[in-house]
Amino acid sequence: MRPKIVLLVLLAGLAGITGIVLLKRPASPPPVPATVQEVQAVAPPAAPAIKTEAVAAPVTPAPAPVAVTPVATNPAPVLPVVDTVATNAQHEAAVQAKIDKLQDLQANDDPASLKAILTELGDPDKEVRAVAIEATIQFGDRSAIPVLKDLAATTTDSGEKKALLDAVEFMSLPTMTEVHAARLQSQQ
Amino acid sequence: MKLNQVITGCALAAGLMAFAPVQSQALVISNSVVSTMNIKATVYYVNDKNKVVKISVSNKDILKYDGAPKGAKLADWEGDAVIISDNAIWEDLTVDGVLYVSTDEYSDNEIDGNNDSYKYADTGTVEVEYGSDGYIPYYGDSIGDNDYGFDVTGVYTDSGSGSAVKSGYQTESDKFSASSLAGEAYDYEVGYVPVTATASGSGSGKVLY
Repeated sequence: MRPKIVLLVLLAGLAGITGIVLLKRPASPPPVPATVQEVQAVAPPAAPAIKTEAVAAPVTPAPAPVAVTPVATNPAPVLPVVDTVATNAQHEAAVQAKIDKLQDLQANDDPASLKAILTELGDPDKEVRAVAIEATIQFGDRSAIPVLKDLAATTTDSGEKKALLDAVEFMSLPTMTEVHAARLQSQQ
Repeated sequence: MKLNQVITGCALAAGLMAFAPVQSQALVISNSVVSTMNIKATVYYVNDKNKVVKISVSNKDILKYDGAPKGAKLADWEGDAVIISDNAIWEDLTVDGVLYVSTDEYSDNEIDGNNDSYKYADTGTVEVEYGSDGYIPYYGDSIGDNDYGFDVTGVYTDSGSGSAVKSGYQTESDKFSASSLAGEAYDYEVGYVPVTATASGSGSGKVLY
């Protein structure tokens, strides 16, 4: 073989190896720590910094400095606190609205109003339930007594159980109106 | 209308109903919040068979005896006990000598916030006087001048708040409770007898600051 041909073959081989090496590089970028990807995926955009750290901690056995990055991208941690206050105010307003409504319903004497009052005996808010018990008493329909008894039997709150049983006892008594009517009737 | 449009409409309506806020019934009259009042009393006496008899007295008894219209309610307005009917004062029971609630404050505290907002709490003693026919000790009369009446005292707790002033308005709220009241009652058939009672109330509303 001529030396020129040998040289050409060697150059072609070298060019081929170089090409393979260059093509391989982009396919394998430097390994990004798994923690960043996972934390960014888990952390909600508005989550408080503390919460993000708490989420990152168990996922991140790897170096900490990278795991902290998502915290910096989060909004100021003050925002969730403001949201909590707003939520509390909204909750208080909703509770007050229910209480106002119950106090209106107790003045009525129709079955629909009683049903609406009795429904609120199961409200998640303890204050609403307490007002609903009072509204049931003031409504003054003895058909509500079995409902109060059933609730007293199932509730685990001792204070609420007492309030329910006191309501049953009070509603079982003759009322001033009934006593007065009976007296007037006996006089005639 | 296509079926899927009907379903979407129904779903939307159901969603709106599920999230519809409870309509607030807050009432303000002459820039003063009206607080609904709840009174209940148990009157005790011994009958001719040596048996202890109890009679209950609640808002509806007081309202019915007074001749208040259907749907009327007892309330506190500017320190007077009133009957509210159709969102207006139907009768001032304190002026007419039927019901009077007076408090003697012993301890209180107020925490002020931004834009004239505040929160307060106080406690003391309360006296509730009821005379079915308009005779109460507050006016120098005796509860024995009525067919039915009572005069009870005890400890009360009270708390409330005022929101930050916004556009010249402030939302005020107040809660009052006296759960262990006791005293004497009068029943024209049996005379003076012992009575236990509770009184509570709450209200909220937007007032011009």
